[in-house]
Amino acid sequence: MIYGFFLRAIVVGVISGFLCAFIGVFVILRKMAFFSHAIAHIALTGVAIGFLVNVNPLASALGFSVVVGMLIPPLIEKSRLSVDTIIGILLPSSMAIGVILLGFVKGYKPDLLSYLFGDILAVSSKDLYIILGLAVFSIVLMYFIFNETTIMSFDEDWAKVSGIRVKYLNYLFVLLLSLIVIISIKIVGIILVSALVIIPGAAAINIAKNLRETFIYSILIGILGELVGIIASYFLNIPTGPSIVLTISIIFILTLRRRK
Amino acid sequence: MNNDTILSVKNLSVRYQDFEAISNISFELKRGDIAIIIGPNGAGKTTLLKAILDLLPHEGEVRILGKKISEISREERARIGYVSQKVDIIQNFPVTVKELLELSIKKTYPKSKEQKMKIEQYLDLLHISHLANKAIGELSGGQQQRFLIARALILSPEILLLDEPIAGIDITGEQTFYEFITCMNKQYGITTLLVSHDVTVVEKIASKVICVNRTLICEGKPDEVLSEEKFEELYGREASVYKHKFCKEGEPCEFYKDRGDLK
Ligand SMILES: Nc1ncnc2c1ncn2[C@@H]1O[C@H](COP(=O)(O)OP(=O)(O)O)[C@@H](O)[C@H]1O
Ligand SMILES: [Mg+2]
Repeated sequence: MIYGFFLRAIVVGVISGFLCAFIGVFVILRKMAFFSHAIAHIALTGVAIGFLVNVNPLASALGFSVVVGMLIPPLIEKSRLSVDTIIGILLPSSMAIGVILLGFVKGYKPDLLSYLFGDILAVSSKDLYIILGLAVFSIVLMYFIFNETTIMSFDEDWAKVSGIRVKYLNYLFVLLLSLIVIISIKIVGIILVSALVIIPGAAAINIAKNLRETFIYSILIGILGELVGIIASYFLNIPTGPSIVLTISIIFILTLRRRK
Repeated sequence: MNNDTILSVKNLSVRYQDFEAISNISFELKRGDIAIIIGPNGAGKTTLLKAILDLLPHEGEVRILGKKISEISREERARIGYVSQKVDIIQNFPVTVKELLELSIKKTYPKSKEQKMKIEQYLDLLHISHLANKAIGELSGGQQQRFLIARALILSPEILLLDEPIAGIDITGEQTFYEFITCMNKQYGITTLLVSHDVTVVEKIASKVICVNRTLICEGKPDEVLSEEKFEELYGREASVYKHKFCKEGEPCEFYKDRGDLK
């Protein structure tokens, strides 16, 4: 029984470590760190809605985050306010709604802390299947948009001149980012998830000489951080989410030394 | 518009909020033209080029290669080359010159052997072969500009749009670049639309000049349309740039004499 949940934790950890670290390189490149942070927080409202209408909270979180995430780009386009201002408004408002809605949940009350900081014990086999399904979908989507997303991330005008439909690709990217963030919320929680997305890529940039290396190092650091973090949390009896994030942060600090 | 027309611009206007940067600009390019857009700083030259490429919201109609740009397929885009004025590529990120070129040509040349050959060929052409594995942010401004030109040329476009492409390139580079444009034009009939703030370039290579200062001031063969009056209209009254030299003959850069560190 103990081993069942431990194994599930390891599997989900490796999957989320890989996906977050991979998309993280793009998130850094496109200066969307705050955006990924926001998507995670918006998910709380989705979780609350799931409990209220009796749907799997992971599924409702995903639906809600994707919808709100998709609304952000057109909002930015129409507004005079900058991205971080708009997100700075959306994030706390959505968080407030989520907390209030959670208060209305009758019967079994979800533990707010477990959503905020993750709860590896709570990964059921049902969750595992949902996460596996989402992960497969994410990887397929990633495969198809990788090249064009890379071009768009480096030079948007060039992407447009090359005939890449930047607007449409942007939506796919937000969808992908939402998927990956939601997958990882189970493990490290809403508040810490953006660390999984940002830190491996940032560490990789410190030591990589080219783009290929950046992706490889980022993914290795992401997966290593999850594994070491989960194992350390088990043996040291500390919370898993923070343990993973701290592990990755320590790796980041180590990469700083090697900066040219 | 006949078969010879490769680019036609009709009543093109662009506004930034309340400010109309360019207004009602119309002109056509024939296949094989080397056209140069001139005008003072802030005249809207960059805006015009970006609007032609549909990079900015605009009014009016642009047809390039006989089609609206939004109707040109991803494959056919290789026929258009563009060099932006600024290097918009994210700096301080580990991505090499070679990797960026690979990304641009992957779609057209899926085989890595072909990619390698093309990249070597064009890096060599622009004299930046030694920079292939350098990160883009480690390149100097001029070297980055050479990279941009290589990227614009590597898919052998039929029409090239260049926004002050040699602003950061040293003099010998500059000369060879204009020779290169002329050579490509003569040998392969590449049409070129070039923005330049340097009017002397016009005399050297242009078959057509397009003078812009928010509106179209003049358009046509350089020796026919570039009169003293047009220059005054374009650059303002006191600055007859055509004859203007940066420093007086015999006493170059007089205003620098106060600086002790310079001779
Ligand atoms: N994004 C922008 N927002 C507002 N005004 C702009 C923007 N880009 C350019 N402008 C203004 O439009 C005018 C034309 O700019 P530009 O096309 O860059 O001129 P040029 O390339 O001829 O020097 C300038 O007055 C400039 O200040
Ligand atoms: Mg300009």
